[in-house]
Formats: sequence, C-alpha cells, structure tokens
Amino acid sequence: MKSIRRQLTLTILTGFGLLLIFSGTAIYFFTRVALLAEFDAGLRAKAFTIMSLAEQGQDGVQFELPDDFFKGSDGGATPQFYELWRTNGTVIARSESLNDTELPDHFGPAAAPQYWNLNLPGGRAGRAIGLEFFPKAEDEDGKKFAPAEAVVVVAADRRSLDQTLDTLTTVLALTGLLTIAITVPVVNFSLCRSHAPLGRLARQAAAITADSLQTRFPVDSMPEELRPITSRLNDLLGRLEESFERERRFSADLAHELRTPLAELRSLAEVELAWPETEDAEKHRETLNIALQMEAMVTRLLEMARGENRKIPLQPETVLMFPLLDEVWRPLAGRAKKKQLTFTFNVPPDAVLQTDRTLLRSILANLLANAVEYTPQNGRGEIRWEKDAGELTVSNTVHDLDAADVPHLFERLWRKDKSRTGGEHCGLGLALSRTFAGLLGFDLKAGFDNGQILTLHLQTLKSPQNK
Amino acid sequence: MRVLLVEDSQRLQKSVGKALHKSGYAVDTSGDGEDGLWLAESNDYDVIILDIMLPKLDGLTLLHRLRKKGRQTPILLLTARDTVEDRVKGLQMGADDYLVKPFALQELLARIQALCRRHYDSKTNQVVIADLEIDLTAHSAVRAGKALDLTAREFRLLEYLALRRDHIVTRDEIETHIYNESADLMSNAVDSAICTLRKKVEPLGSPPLIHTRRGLGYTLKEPS
Repeated sequence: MKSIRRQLTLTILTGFGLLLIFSGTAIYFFTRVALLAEFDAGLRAKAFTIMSLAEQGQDGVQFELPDDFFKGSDGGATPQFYELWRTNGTVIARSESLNDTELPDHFGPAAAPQYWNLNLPGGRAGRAIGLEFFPKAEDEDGKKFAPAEAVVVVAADRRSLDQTLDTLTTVLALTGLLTIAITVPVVNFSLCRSHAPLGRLARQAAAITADSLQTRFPVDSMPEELRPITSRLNDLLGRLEESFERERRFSADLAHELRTPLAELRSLAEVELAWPETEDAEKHRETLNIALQMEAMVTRLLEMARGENRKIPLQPETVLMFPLLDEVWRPLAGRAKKKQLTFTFNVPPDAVLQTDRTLLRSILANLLANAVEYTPQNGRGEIRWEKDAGELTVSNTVHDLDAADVPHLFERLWRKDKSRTGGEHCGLGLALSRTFAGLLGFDLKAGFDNGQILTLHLQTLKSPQNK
Repeated sequence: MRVLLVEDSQRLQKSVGKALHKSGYAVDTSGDGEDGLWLAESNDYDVIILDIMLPKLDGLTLLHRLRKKGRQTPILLLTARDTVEDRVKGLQMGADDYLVKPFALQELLARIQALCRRHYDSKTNQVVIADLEIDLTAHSAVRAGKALDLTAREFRLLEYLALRRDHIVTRDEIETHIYNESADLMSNAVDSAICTLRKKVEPLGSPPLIHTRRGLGYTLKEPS
C-alpha cells in the first residue's frame, strides 16, 4: 500500500544522501587542490632555490648546495630529490638520495613549470617539478659568460599528502554515514509528528456512524494544510446529516401516513365485529374514504417511483397552454369561488409548449389545486406565462407559511402541519410535480416574497423545442 | 373507570371511543393537544390514551407538562411512530405504556385494563371478597358460585369499588370515574346505580358487601 510517510522518508533521505555525497566530494576536491597547490609551492620554492644557486662560470655551470639544505622541519627524515642537467643531458648535480636512479627530465618554462606524480627510488609515491632556466652568467667581478640553458627537477615524497587526503576521505565518509544514521530517526519522528493530525482525523472519521452525523471535525486545531480538507469533510458531513434527516423524516411520515388509515380501518372493523349494529351506510362510507385515501397515496408513491426510474413513456406534442389551464381550473373554480379567491390568468392564447400533455396537465393540476387549497379566504393568486423566460408562474397569498418552509416544499411527504392531521393531503403533490417536471426537461422551483406570496416557477426553457 | 382519548383522527376517536364505551369506560375525547391538556388537568382520569402527533400541542409536550405538574395519571401513547428511539423517548418522558398503530383493539383494551389495575395497586385479575369473585379480564362476577348478570357500567362500578376495597369511595369519585364529562347526571344517579348494583350483588339472604358510610360514600368489604 502507498504510504505518504514512507514515500516522504525515502525522498528526504535520498535527497539528503545525495546532498551529503555532493558536499563531501566538493570538500574533498577543493581540499585536495589546496593541499596539492601548497605541496607544489614547496617544490617550486626548492626548485627556485636551486636555480638561484646555479651559476654560469668559465667551466660551465657551477652548483653548490649546502648539505642540510633539504632537511626542513622534519630534520631530513623525509627524503628530498633533485637533479640538475644541461639541456644537452649532461648532469650538473644530483642529490645523493637518488642513488643510481634518474629523475625524469620533464620540464616546462620557469614561468609555467611542469608538475607530475612519480615513483621515487624505493618505490614510494612522490611528486616532482621540472623547469628550464638560464643560470646566472656573471661572476662576482662582473665578468659575463655566454648563457647556457639548464633543467632542474625537484621531487619530494608525497606520502604525508596522501595520508592527509585519505584521512579526509575517511572523516567525510564516516561523517556522512553518521549524519544519515541520525537523520533517519529524526525524519521519521518528525514525519510521525507532523502526520499525527491526519491520524487523528482518520480515527475521528472512522468513529462516525449514521447516528453521529452531527459530529464535526475541529478546523482551528488542524494544521494549515489540512484545514481545507477538514472544512470540506465538515461540509460533506453536513450534507449527509441533512440527507439522513430527510430520509428519517420521510420514513416517519410514510409510517404515519400508512399506519393511521390502517389503524382506522382495523379499529372500525374490530369495533363492528365486537359490537355489531344494524347496517349503517355511514360506516361503509368511512371504510370507502379510508380506502380511497390510502389508494391515492399509494398511487402517488408509485407514480413517483416510476417517474424517478424514468419508466413513464413520454409522448411530446404541441400543447396550447391557455386551453389546458382552463381545463385544469374548471373543477377548482367552485372551491375558489366558495373561498372568495381572486385568481387572474395572464396567459396569452398563443402560448404553446412542445411536451407531454398528460404529465404537464398533472403538474398544472397539482400547482393550481395547491394554490386554491392553501390561499386563505378572500386571498388572491395569479397564473402568468413569461414568454421570453419560457416560464409559467403560479403565485398566491399564504398565511401559515414562512421562508424557512420553502426548501422543504418539494420533500416527499412534507407537511407544514407536523401533526399530519387529516388525510386529504399527504405532502406528495409538489414532490411528484417536480419529478414530472424533471422528466419533461423542465425545472420547478419555489420562491417566497415578504408579502406572504408563494410563487412556483415552472421553468421550461431547458427543453430546446420550447424557446 | 374514566378514560381520556386524545387523538386527532376523527375516525379513530369514534371507533376507539365506542369500543371503550362498550367496555364500560367513561370516555372523554379530544382532537388536539391543547384541549387534551386542559381536560387532563381538569379531571381525574384513570387512564389517558395519547397520540403523539397532535395539532396545537404534540403528545410528548403534553405528557411532559402533565408530569411536571405532578399528575401521575397512567398514560398510554398510541402512535404511528414505531422506532425504538420513539418508544424509549416516550417511556422516558413518563408514559406508562406504548402501542403502535395499527393495533388490535383487544390489546388496547387489555393494556388500559392493566394500567387501571396498576393505578390501584392491584396485581391480579381476580378480586375475591368473601364469596364474591370478580374476574377483571373476563368482565364477570360470581357470588356464592352463581354468575351475576351485570351491565358494562354496573361491572365498572363494581370493579372500581373492588379495586378500592376496604376504602371509602365518595360519590364524587364514582361520578368522576364511571361517568364521562358529557353525561347528564341526575343528582341521585350514583345512589341509584349503587342501589341497582346492590340488588344484583346481594341477593336475598346474602351478607351485605357494599356498605354505605353516611355523608362519606360507599365501601366494598367483607361483612364484619
């Protein structure tokens, strides 16, 4: 399984290791260059000393070197080598330490002498400098001689230099390994600590069940990087809680809507069986009403299920809005008149929709029936067709609704009356209308004005034919 | 026994009310929580049957207010809410029983009877006073081995006296527990009912069991 902590540990350690190798190599390289330069400077000084001691005389180049000249600070423990030639190959002088061996006659001009590594007599590693020069061609009396070119090669044991470089290599390698060894637990510990909030978040998330959806993750105590995730998780929990609450409400409402008429039916029958009375048409009417109420609810639930599963076949046709609204309004007109409602129709006679007439009729019947039912006595309403917006609005005054109710209007089985008294309306009409509107490619929304006017908007422009 | 039924479904009010009435209970009904609370506070009921989802004031709030005021009337919640949480909540708020709709009428009546018994600290369905045996479940009474022919109301009166045996029961208490609020009672209705019951419970030659305490009321007890 992919682990962020493992991946980060590996990346940090690899990066850190490469950095260590690079820095170690750089340190080694620059130290080596510096030490070699210092070593070469020593060789050059000795070569220049020999050059200054060599003189051109009557009998050729004269050279005399004091015995303890090369002894240096170690008292001559480290052997030093030199050899002085004429350019024709004649040896002018050489150190005793060379015994029978010869130093190679590599050289460069005095301004840019040649340096190289070589094996010294005895097989030890050494380093040498070689340069050509013109010995001083004037004696103490001011007599001048013809200048004759000479070559000097000075070599020295470089064992101490190599030992210093070896020690440096060892120190750098050990330091690198030790640093890595310390870095591994430090990085691990640091990542563990910085990932602790993630672990806490995971544990809290795992503890959330359907019964504890009100839980929210603490945002303020989270690291900055986790705050957006935590906020999104809290939003998600909020939506989940709302959805669960809606489902719970739906189940409870459905239980009530089904159980109450069943209880009515059962108790009616049991009472009649226990204490039979003479045939009473009222009892049969009651039984029929209960059956019709349950049938209406079951029919609506089934229609909604079919609608949600898109199992209602659509037959689009050209529908003239005004005649359809008139047809839907006619059975409601009596009730509206009884309540002394004033409804105005602002729908042009040529308003037309290309849609399924049956479903549209069902939507309009529900919207208009609700408007008549819930408009208070002497209230008013309006049915308006907005051609440009492709929208039909049904507005009416209401008295027991407030803005907080609007988001619930389309919930299945929602009723303003929490006691759910009476069985004529079970709260499925608007939910069903919205499902049907969705099937037709329409949108059904609700709005609420401060003036206690509820407006339902049937937006039809989603359907391209209805523009 | 007097029962208050608070239920917003008119149909259930009618059918359950009728069943209770036929079983000999005095029944008052109410269709909303506010009216139900007023009735429950104003009268001394033996049992209250209470729906939860009620207009104006929900059943649980009604229950809470009654208990807060110290009313210990047994309450049976009769509701469509069937989840464990709903039952637990109802019982924790002070209900004595919980029945989910739809329900069997016999079960409802049996539960009401059990609540009545519990209200009067009676553990059994049989009350025996001398040679009078009263079966509270079968709604029957036998005196000296002979079954008594009692109407539902007569049986309820006998049952009420039996549950409060050896105690003096006042006329007001009998009125309150045997007759419903709408009954148009004549001033001597209780005395008349006791007289009728006496004739049936104490046939000629039988020792008297229903004793009159002048100025106080009546008591059902073994002959001294």
